[in-house]
Amino acid sequence: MPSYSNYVFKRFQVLLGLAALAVAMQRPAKAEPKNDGDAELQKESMRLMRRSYGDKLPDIPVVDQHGNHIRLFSDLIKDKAVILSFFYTDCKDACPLTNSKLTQMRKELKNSFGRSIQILSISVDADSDTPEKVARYARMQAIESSDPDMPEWKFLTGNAAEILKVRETIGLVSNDVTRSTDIKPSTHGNVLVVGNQATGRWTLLSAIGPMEQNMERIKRIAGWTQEVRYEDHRKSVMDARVASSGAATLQAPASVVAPSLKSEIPVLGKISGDLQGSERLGRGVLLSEVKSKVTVLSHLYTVCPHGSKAVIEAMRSLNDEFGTHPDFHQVSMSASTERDTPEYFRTYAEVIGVGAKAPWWFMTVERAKLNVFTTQQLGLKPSLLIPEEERLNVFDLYENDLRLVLLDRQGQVRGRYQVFHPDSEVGASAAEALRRDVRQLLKESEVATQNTLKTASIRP
Amino acid sequence: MNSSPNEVSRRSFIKTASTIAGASVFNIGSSSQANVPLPIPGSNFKGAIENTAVPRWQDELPSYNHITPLSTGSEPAQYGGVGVGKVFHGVAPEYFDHPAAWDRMPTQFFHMRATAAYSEMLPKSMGLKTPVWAYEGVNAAGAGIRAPQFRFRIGQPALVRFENTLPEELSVHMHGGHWPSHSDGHASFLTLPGEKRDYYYPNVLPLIPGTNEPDISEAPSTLWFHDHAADMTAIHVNRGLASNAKCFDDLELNLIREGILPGIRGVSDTGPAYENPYEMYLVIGDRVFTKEGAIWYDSNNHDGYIGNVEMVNGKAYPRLKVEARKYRFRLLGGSSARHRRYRLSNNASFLRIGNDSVMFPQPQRTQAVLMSPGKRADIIIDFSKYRPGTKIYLENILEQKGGRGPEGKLEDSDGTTVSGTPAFIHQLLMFEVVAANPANPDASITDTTALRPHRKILESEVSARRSFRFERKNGHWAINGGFYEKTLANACPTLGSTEEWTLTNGSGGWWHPIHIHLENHQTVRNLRTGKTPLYHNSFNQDTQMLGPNDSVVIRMRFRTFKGPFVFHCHTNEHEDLEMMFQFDPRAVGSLTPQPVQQFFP
Ligand SMILES: [Cu+2]
Repeated sequence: MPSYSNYVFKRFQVLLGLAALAVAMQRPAKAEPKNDGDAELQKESMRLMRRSYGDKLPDIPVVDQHGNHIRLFSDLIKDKAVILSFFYTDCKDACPLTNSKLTQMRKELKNSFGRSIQILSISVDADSDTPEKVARYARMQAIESSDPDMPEWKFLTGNAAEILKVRETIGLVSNDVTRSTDIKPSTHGNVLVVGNQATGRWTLLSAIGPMEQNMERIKRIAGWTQEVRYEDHRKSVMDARVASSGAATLQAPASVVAPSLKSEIPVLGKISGDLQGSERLGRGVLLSEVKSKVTVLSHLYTVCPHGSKAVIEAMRSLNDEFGTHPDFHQVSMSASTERDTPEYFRTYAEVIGVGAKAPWWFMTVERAKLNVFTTQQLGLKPSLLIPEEERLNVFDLYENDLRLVLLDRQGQVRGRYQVFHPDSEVGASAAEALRRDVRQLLKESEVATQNTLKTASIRP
Repeated sequence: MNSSPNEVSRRSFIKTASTIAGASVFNIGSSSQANVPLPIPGSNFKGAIENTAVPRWQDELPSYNHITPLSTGSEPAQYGGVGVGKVFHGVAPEYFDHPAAWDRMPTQFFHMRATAAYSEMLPKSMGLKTPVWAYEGVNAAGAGIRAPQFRFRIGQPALVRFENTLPEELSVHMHGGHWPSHSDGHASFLTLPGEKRDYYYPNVLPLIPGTNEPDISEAPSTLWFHDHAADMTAIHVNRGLASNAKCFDDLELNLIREGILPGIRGVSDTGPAYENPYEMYLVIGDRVFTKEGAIWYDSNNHDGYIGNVEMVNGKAYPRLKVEARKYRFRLLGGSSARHRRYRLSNNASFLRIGNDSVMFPQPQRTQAVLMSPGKRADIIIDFSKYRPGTKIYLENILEQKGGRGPEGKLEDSDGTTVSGTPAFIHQLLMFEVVAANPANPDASITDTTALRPHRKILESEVSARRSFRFERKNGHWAINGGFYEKTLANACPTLGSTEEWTLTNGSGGWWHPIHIHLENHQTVRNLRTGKTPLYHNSFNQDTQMLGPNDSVVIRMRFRTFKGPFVFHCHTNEHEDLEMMFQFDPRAVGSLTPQPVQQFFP
């Protein structure tokens, strides 16, 4: 036996320990085509990959739960990310289960897709499922949402023969030996067809499969950008590294996002109005004073028992990393109350170590104005008065949308980050995504940003 | 595979294609026997190139090229260290306790990438070039080698740095070998776009149970590799992400050195290249082409992809000059769904010396070979009895109209004889006999030559039994009613134990070739027919053909590496649409599904 064991094993351990450092030093791998010919070739390959459902999907007329007459392909699938589900209103087992899973998925999809993905539930028993019946069924699912980021969910019916044709085209009804089984309405089971007609990536999955895996697959298959497609996978890579080589490599989050992949940060909206309030010591400020900076805004309720702690920690870590950058600014917004006053914030800021000159405002604003600004301009949910019996303490009056909002130099909303999440790992990865996006926005020069913004990277 | 550097404009593409479609060239070069053209499968491919528009026997058969190691023994400078960068896991810890002398030869270090390229899949005269996704070996100068073929040596570890330059996630599965979980090409262990991953192939043999002796009865010989990324395997492989590898051990090298197997003494038995002009892969795959020459894939079709143009080594209907002597061919079913039964056009018999990765104890004389997707057949054809100028064709005599499977039943066409004229004949490759080179003596293999010893798994060794039922469920492909779950180990054998599995095809007429990673398995009997397997199916295999309603009992051991590994239907569309389960050998097994014990995403 050669005496390799000790030497190699030690070397192996050292190498694993060094992995994090080495990642940072490694020259980024080139994913871009090597020359023009290759770009052409990549495009041709992608064009071929796009030969998918939509090209042959019959563009049949359908009716949604609101009675709108629309075309299945050209209005609902073309150039969109979708989850197709099949149902019939009398279904007692598979459909209720699928719908409850879809409800859960939809909430989670909101963070990665917003309204750039939609759920289409199509009746497989259209002869019996009249538009009225489907409308009633949809109402029972309680799918209406005032959240502007909540993915749309449509229940559709139409001509039974035409819908069968759709199921055939999608491959759920085979023309081969099992056709007589496949064709029954009850056979649709819990199958979801997931894909993105713009990128041409499609798959099938079982709605009752593990939620975490389904979410990973939906993002990977239907995601608009590589960032979204691989965010869950990258997270599992990081977890596995930590698990296999100890906490030492935990500082390798940079490796989780490939340096070579230039992220496309979506544009979610644009600020049109201003916000007026008082900074610490009562100095009057206007948000427009910092409009040419990359700005992160968040709610702040110093006594909030729900998640303000996570929010303030995320804000502090941003201040640690970017506080000296001349183009970076932070705003903690608070509706003025008896306790959260400008004077109080002065002390509060001192306690958490934020100096008076730090590029971080603690801004108190009139409640009504703040509500209008955060909902209409930033796209956050309105603050809700918490019913008395559910309050956790006497200060626990309002339930706030605790997401951090990122504005670029043009005053465009580039992201809303759920840094507070019941699952702290999810929160941590949102905070990491925010830091990454801030880093990138600060790097982009103003001119370049205007020229290359891809507002279509996430489509409404 | 050998793409020419000349670009052809889109306009002349179309012009050429329509000219060819206009004239019937089907009979040119064809033998006088019936040769049934393949129809365009399904209405979704309206306007595809007709089978009869593809001229026969014009271009030479492309060959696979040895991918040379960047270095041997020490890491190449190009790597910048093992275990760094995007490389997820360098070397598996389990090697350090492996009692076999697995590193008696210095490690070879390779570099391979996946890239977009053009390939001349259709005959040159059609003037069409096909955009493909291809594996490329990278040599020390950074140049790419197309159609890369690894030549592994038992006892010599190989480390392959794989680089993904394509815009989609990939996973490289080395099919037919005994690899650690993290380097096996698991469906959920991915290399993301722009990233790299190291695959570590220790090239060790499993040990004979209860000993520290490597089990040479399981030395693999005929391997291939292809993409295995979850949800995306079928389209990626269809685009071209597949190639192959040979693996040599002392026993096989001796057979070459002694002139028993075809080869050139002193060359074919000598690494690292093991060059052998008398031994080659024949990878058969089918595609549909658009008029522009692009591969046409139908994502709607979950039955399984069927093409109307047959390719050998990525070239439609090629020709191959063979000397009047013995050749060794490794037939590989490279299709997604098409099963074939191969024979020679003159119905001459030949020797089959292996099934999947492993050679038989002794050759089997046969007139035909039936293979599902993913399977391999190692065969010896003797051309010495033919005069120079003789033309013989490799034919497929099994008709298949859709992804469901071929017409008929498994045992209808599984025998070794072909009598009468088959109702269906489709010629794939033309052999053209030329005079033998007297400098290279012919191989001496006969019907009774001893090849690789076999070690049968006995019933007394079996410590657990499991059954898996493969069926269509809700327009979706299921195993035991369930689907692939990446965190669930559906079977948890005890490491080092032996189990008996019953694989049942319950899906009313569909065929499912079931591929089990990590280990070879041995077929015991088919419960539907009550029969024990024929000679060629009674040794080690890694892909089990299941015809309609077949229920096949197999035995396998679980050695060396902890899981998870996958097993799945090798009709790639079925696999992607979740006809895939995991098994996870571990220190203490379980009869019930458990969470996977480790994960190398
Ligand atoms: Cu199958």
